Amino acid sequence: MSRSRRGQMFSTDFILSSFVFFLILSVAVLSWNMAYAERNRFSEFQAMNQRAFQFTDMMVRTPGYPRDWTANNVQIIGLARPDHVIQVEKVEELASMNYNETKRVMHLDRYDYFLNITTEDFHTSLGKQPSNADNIVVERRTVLVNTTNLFQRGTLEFVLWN
Amino acid sequence: MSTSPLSNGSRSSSRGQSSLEFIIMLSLVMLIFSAFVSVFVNKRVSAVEKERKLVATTVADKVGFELDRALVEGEGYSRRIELRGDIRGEEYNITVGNGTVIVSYGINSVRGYTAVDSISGSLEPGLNEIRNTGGGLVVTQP
Repeated sequence: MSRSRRGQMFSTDFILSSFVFFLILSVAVLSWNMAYAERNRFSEFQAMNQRAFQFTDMMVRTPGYPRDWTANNVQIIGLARPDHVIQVEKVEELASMNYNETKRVMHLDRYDYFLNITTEDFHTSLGKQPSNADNIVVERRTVLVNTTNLFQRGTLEFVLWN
Repeated sequence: MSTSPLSNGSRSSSRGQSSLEFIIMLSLVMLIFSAFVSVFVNKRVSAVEKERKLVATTVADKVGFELDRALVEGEGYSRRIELRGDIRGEEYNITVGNGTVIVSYGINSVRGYTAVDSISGSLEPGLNEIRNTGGGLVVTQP
């Protein structure tokens, strides 16, 4: 009695098990990558948060540098003298600057900003409103605005976005 | 009389056998698996590097901000700041000069900005004290 013996390259079992194995492996890899992407996104958000906080702090707590800065010589933008009392002249000086120039002074390479100062009788907005933004961070501070011998309570809102 | 199946006179050798087909299949599976692992490792390395860069950037921004604050506040200002011990497991150092803060970790570095041109002393991971002496900014480790 002769028996034919044949080798077998691929069996159905093998193909099915391979498919299941690689499916599970793909899901695991994709999940891992998504987790890392989310973590990176959170780190980016934290970095933006820190930046926005620092800018806002500098603006509402200090007069900037030099103390009597103008649009031509400003190195650090500060609007307050004393702490939390916004000087309208400095706001006007900031408003007179080109947007890209203010970004250069603020060293905002990858971000855009929008600044809003509002009281009952005073309102000014500078910068760009967020548009199609991936990340937005908002810092709000309560301030006093010094307008021609009148102090009015208001809000300074700084929006950093990209 | 032996009851062994081998005792009827026929000779049957049983040997283990690794077939060519099995080796080919195994090689193919290992090849595909290697490709998966390679892609996965590359992505992970890239993600870790990106996170390190972001962390280094926050350190640079913090240093720049604290130096600017010391400059603006003027003579007599003093503040202690705590900088993180490492950049996600990697040691780092900080250089300040010409309006730039450079945080170097491994073979990489990130740049931050400050209005300060130079400082006396250097910033280190951990606790630092920044003082405005009127003649400039002095940094020490208390």
